[in-house]
Order: sequence, then C-alpha cells, then structure tokens
Amino acid sequence: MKATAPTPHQDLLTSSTGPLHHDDGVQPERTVLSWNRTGVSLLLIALLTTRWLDDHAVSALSAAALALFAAAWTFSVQPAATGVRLLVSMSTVLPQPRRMCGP
Amino acid sequence: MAGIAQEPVPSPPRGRLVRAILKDGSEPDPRFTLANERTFLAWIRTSLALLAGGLALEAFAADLFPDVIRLSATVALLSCASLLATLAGFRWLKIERALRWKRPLPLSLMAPLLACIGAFGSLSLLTVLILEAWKV
Repeated sequence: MKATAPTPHQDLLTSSTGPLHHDDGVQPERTVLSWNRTGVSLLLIALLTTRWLDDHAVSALSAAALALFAAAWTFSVQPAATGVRLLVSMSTVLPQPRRMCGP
Repeated sequence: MAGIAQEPVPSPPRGRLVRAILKDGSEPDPRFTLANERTFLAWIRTSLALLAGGLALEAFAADLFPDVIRLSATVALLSCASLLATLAGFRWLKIERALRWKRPLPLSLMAPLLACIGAFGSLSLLTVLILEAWKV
C-alpha cells in the first residue's frame, strides 16, 4: 500500500497541541441554538399569560400575541440573519469530499 | 485542495441604521460578535426567567403568601426583568463598540447587581415564610 503525505486537515485532527477542528461551523450553530432557547422562553411566557384569559381577556391575549410574535421572529428571522451574516463574513470554503479508503 | 481554506470575500454593505449605531472602528472577528450575541441572549433569557417567575408568583401562589408580599415580590421581579433586558441591550452595544475599536471590554455591573437582588429577594421571602410558619 502506498503511503501518502498527511494533508493539512489530517494535521489538525491528529495534532496533540492544535485544535481538533475549526470552530467556524460551531459558532453559528451555537448562536442559532441560543436564539432558539430564547424563543422557547418566549413561548413559555406566552403560555403563562393565558392564565388571565378569563379575567383580563384583552390584556392577556395582547401579551400572549406579543410574546408569540417575538418567539416566531426569534425562530425565523434571527437565526437566518446570523447564519447568512456569518457565512458571508467568515467566507469559509468547505473541504472537498475525499475518499477515506483507497480503491 | 483538500481541507478547509479561507478565501477573502468582500463584505456586503451595511445598512444605514447599523452604520449609525456601529460607526468607525474595524470589523471584529465574527466569532467575537457571535459570542457577544450569545451573552446578550443569555441575559435576555435571565430576564425572561424573572418575568416568568413574576407571572407565576401572581398566578399560582395566591395561597402561599399574603397579598401585599405577593404583589410586592411580583412587582420587584417584573421590574428586575425590565431593568435587566434594558441593561443587556446597552451592554451588547458597548461590547460591540469595544470590539470594533479594539478597546478593553467594559466591566459588567449586571452580574453583581443581579446577585445582590437575588440574594436580597430570596432572604426576604425566606424571612416571610419563616415568620408565617412561626405564627402557625
């Protein structure tokens, strides 16, 4: 079997002192997850406000609608904006697919 | 080339609002910007937790505390939630500007403030509960 020289990518994976992987892909994912957690918190607030539906229908519905709108915005707009902004600014070119085993 | 390569891509033009808020300085590392965004979101979730606590106290703890205490605690929690969300927004902006201008990060007063409020609130409610139990 012919031995091949290690690629820069392999160096990153096998180096004992260097990073195990680039952080480029994880940062947007963590940020999107953070936005999603915030959205879930807003959903919880919306649920809690329904407690006053019987006594203060208009106020409770307004508060719930506001929280739901904020949650929907959080789930849809912000993660997309974050992802796009990051993709543009980091300009990461993903690695080409490679064969792991020889033919 | 196999592996991860970085190729410079021209930045898209910033909107007018963003240019007005974040003027001057240089573009920071996007990872720092995203970390700042996540810190802001963590503070917002803390604020939402305080808001939920206030709502829950008003909605579900009618029998646990006297009305005056319950209302005071609810108002305090909701006020803290509002204050924390406002401070979080300002802090996000200050850190973003510090990153752009390569200045030291501003000191956070929110953490000790929140710690003091939490300790004071918990001790107050604990005192009320103990006094109520003492009466019984």
